[in-house]
Amino acid sequence: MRNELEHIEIIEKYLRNELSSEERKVFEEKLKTDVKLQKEVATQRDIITGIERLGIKQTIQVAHKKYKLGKAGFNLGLGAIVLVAITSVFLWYNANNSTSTISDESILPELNELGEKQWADADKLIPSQQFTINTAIDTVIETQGGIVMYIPKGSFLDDNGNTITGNVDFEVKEALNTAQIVMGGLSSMSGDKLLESGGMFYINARQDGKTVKINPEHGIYTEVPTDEVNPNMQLFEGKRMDNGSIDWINPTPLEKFLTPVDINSLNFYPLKYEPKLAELGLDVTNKKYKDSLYYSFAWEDKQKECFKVEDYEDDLTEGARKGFLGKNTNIESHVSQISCDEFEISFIIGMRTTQYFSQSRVEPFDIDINDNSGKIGKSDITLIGNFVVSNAVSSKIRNEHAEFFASEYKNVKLITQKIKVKSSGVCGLKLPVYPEGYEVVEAIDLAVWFEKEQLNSNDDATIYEVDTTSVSDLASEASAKAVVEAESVQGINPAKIKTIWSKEFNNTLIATREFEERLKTIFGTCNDKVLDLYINNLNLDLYVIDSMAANMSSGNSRNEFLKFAERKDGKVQIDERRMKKLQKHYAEKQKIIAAAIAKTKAKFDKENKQLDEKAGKERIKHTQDEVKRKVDNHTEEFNLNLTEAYRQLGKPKPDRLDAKAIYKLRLKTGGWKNVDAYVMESLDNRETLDYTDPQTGKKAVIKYEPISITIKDETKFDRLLVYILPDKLNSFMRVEKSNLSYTEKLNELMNHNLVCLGYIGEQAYFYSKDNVTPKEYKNVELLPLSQQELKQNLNRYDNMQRKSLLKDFDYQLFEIKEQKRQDKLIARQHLREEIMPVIFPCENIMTIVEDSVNADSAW
Amino acid sequence: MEDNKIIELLKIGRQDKAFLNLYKNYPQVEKLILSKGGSKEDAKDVFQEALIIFYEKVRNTDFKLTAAIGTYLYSVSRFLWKDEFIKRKGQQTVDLSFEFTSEEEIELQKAIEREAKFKQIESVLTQLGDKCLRLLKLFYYEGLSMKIIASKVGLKSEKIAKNQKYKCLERAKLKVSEL
Repeated sequence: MRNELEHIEIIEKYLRNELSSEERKVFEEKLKTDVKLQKEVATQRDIITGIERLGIKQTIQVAHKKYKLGKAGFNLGLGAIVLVAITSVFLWYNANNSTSTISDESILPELNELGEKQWADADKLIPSQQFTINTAIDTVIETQGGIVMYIPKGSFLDDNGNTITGNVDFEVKEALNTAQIVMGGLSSMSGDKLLESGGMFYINARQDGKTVKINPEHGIYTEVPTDEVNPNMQLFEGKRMDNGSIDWINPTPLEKFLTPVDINSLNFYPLKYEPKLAELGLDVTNKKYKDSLYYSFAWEDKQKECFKVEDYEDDLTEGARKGFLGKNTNIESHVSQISCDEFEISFIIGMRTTQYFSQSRVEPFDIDINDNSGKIGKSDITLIGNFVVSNAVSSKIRNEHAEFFASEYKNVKLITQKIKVKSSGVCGLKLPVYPEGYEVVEAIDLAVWFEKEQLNSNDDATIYEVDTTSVSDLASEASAKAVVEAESVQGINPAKIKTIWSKEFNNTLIATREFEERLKTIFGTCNDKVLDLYINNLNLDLYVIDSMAANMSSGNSRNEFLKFAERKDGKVQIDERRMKKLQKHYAEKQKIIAAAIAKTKAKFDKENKQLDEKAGKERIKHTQDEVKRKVDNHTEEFNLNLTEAYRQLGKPKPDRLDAKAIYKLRLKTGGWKNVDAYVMESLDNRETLDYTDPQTGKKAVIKYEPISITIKDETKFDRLLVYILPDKLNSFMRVEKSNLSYTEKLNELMNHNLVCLGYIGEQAYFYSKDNVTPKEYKNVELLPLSQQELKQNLNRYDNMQRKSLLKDFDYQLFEIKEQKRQDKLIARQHLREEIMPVIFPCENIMTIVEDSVNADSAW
Repeated sequence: MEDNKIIELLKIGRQDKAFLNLYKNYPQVEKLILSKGGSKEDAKDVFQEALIIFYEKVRNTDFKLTAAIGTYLYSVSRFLWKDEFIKRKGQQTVDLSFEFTSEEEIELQKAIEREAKFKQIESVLTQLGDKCLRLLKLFYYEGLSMKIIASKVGLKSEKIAKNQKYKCLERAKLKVSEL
């Protein structure tokens, strides 16, 4: 068990009174002085209490439900059906932002709001609340009983239907609870039926004592407080009866307005997204992080749009404005957009070359260019392409082809084009339409925004953070996968969610709790069109859109939409102009976002690809260096040994240029050059040379004796390297590990220095010892050093050796960083695979099979 | 059910039964809250909080019953609602007289502060992930043995479960200490 966990265990035992009295004594002694420990104990205690309280709350919830169930059963026993209604209103009028007055005893004007002399008991008994309304401004009033009325400016009309100016006296009488209703002499009878009242109130507006009308176009938006909303409430009008009572007539259903809230207080993530993050132990409190990860799943929509043959048979220079293959569209995006049934596109591209090709065929998933190139003269407009796209059932042309094409004709700008449709009933794919001059800037801004999302807090978060911008495509396999992920997903495009989850949609039905609820079901349909339905009908009642959505869906989703529709949720007022503007914004912005995200991803992929290439080169270079080092070492040591052998034998050493030449000779001949062969053999095996000259009987002995090194806490290092620096060689020897220790055999002719280098993460650990001898060095302890110190430590070695060591050190550090980068990429890809199914529930995506051996990994 | 029996139930960890019995006091409280400007949802929350306060009082102190539990819950609910109401409206407009001694009032005030503190902690804990939360609840709230818990949450051995519990605690500690 890790140290931290043991620590937690001890605190836990202390809290649970499970320590032995002696352990307890020690612990308490430490607790007295250790502030950090005190804090930890408190936190752990709080956690336990918190858990208990969560448990208690759960139990209480269950009890509450059971209690309610019991009660409901009892109620059913009554078997009565209550007719429900809200009481009424005489006239719906206004009041104002200035002070209100209450007259204890109502002095009634001569005429009522209908211009009649009739008054009911209630008119006399219920105190009146007076407000003065300035008709030039919007006014909100709240009555004593809590009725809130919103009175737009210019809400009042005179008898001729002209808007009234100046101040208006606005009167309200209210009876909102049973006591007030009874006291006010009101009843809740409608004819001979008894109503359940949601409150009764009276409003009237007068100017100079004369009743004025409410502009029926505006109405007065009124909220009546209630404990529970009864969906069947209706608005009744009061009719004064001769006996002084009021009868309630003309019921009309209430309009159900939705209350917009701050859109940022809503949650538009797919239902299981946040729980999944939590399950993976990620930071669910960081919205930036959640956003960037979620939106990174966005893809660019290839909009399939059918258009008629005749529409596109002519020169489409104009098309630039229509969004078709626009002026500044480069070839790359152009090509990757083509698809669908058969059609032909001719285009002319501006470029200072004289190439020409035509009749290139574009098959589904393939571009096959029959290059009938030829010259058509020198001019700025010289490249003409002519593609036939046939039978493209699927809407994808693979990216690599597009890339190939684009790389062939880089910087080519499309200036004009013709589209000729060859067969009838044809579709084309439109390029995403960006508002002119808008897309590039916007996209780049977003890309920057993306990169800024970096979390600095801790390493783990950073790993996943970079993920926001990535689809790893290290291996080509991964690349293929990334493409599939980005292109063929069925579900709600996160780019759309990002578009609507933004302040632009405040004060629309999107910014309501009610829509938030719907969104969860919309995610379940995996159908973008259902989402579009809501955004494109901002002026409709929510329940109307619910019905439309139900028609578009099936199964569970359909049932859910039908249930939503039953609630009869209303709308949020929106004027035509704003709605149109938002629709346009929605259509455009989602593409811009998707493009920006794609761009950011592409950038990330490109960077990684470059890094991969660089790493590949480094490794090749390193391998070459290693070979060279070994060969050089071998040569140098061989010369050394050979010279010594000849000296001992008392023979002159044959004059040779280098070891390689000797080696060749050895192979070809033999005989008196046996000395060389023995020396070579001894060196190759690093075994002691013990050679007796058959002619002179003289001996040549060069001893090789073993050194072994073991490292203290060896397992804690991510990377461990042991070097021996023989004083007569220009480079180092790498000591390999065999069994438990690092072993090598030392040549007695040389002095040796030992250098050990370890890495934990990017932190270097170092040990060195000069003049080591053939024996065991046990538990060598490496100490942490900065890279700077590390280099300084090498200064005392011979220049050549120092250089080769430095080079190797650099390479090791590079490898560590590279490994880290790779790990991150893999972690990122894994994370994406984990998250995919919760974002796109309709996709059957293989998730990584968890390591079943290690139960821990499931957590 | 007799009050003493309910307290006994709470002490032996049969909260489920105890709470169900205590809910007979709910209509009174609901009526009170509704008449004092609250909603049914408010009533539910207030009553839940009162139950927790009562529960903790029984569990953590040498609790002696001085009045009927019903009366106690009603008074506590009233106090809680007054506090909540003032917080919402910024003024004291509801007349809620009390029969608490000042000492009890201080205690209740503390309980309210405690509630606020633990609301934060609880919300952090709910982010631990279902598995962790379940494991911790089984252990600390339900008081089951690690062996039983291991089999309940599908871990191979008691040891793994125990280890996992500490890991969950570690994660919780990290989160709580960031509050």
